[in-house]
Amino acid sequence: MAEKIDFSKVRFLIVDNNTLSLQMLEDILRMLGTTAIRRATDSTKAKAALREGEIDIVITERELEPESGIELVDHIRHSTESLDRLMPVIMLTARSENEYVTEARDKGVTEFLAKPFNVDSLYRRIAAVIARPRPFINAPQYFGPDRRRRQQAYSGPNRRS
Amino acid sequence: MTGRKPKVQIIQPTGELRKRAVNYKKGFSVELTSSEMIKLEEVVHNSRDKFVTAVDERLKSLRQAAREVGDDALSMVGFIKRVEKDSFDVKGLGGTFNFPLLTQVAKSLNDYVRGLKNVTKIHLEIITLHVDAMYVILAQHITGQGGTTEAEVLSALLQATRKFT
Repeated sequence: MAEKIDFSKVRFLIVDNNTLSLQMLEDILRMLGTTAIRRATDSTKAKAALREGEIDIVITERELEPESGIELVDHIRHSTESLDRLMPVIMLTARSENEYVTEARDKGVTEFLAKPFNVDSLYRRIAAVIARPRPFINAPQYFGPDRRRRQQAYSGPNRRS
Repeated sequence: MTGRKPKVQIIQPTGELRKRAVNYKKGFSVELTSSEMIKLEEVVHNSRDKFVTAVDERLKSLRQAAREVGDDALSMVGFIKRVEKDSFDVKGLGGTFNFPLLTQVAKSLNDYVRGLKNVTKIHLEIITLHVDAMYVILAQHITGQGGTTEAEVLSALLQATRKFT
């Protein structure tokens, strides 16, 4: 039997200053069955929504005002105000050149998706953070989801300790 | 020196969200079925008209602003900021609605204005050419990559942005 996701049990915060993009994202989430959707058009409103709690997943654009989406991720991962430092964050952005992907990964973004996107790619990322959550790494220089995606079995000679 | 390695802690996920939402009865499959995919694609399809109307309005307004922009630095900065925002938004959505060429032209414009300082008439001309190209793509419903003419227009726009930085 195939696993399903009951989206009525998942609460989203979606952040984008492009209202058309925000509306389309909300329509997709509603089609999935989500009822708890909070919208924010800037980072200040997003932080206010986060302070109120009751959010499971954040989907955010990188280009926000007054602070960027990257700073919002930093707030979630590092601020003492953060209610859930392990919260999954999907960065959905039109700023998708390699340097931005690397930056997002190193700041603790859980999933990255370039705009323009297709619904299949978006769904796969949402499903992944719900159904296959990754461990977190707490290191002196990094706090965020494990950046190693593949767990490769080692088949060589004895490993060095 | 002892050279101790810094401690790294691996925190296993609680799986609380998974426990709450994943089941075998209700909702969308973790691996989407084709019928579920169609439902989601319909949502995008239904937003398409809204997108076309919104971008059309923005481009008309941008054309007008390009004609009216003054020579003073303040008015120019405001105009460039607006072009940057609008081109970024169109770049991010065009391809989703099967207008990849629109996304490419918007990307070219966005890359161009992001690095622009001391805006001159030739810069304004290039910005206007981009806006006009996007307008034509939308007005003529050029979906997909377009044909040879469209490829040549895009190439010419890219060359112009490289030449007049």
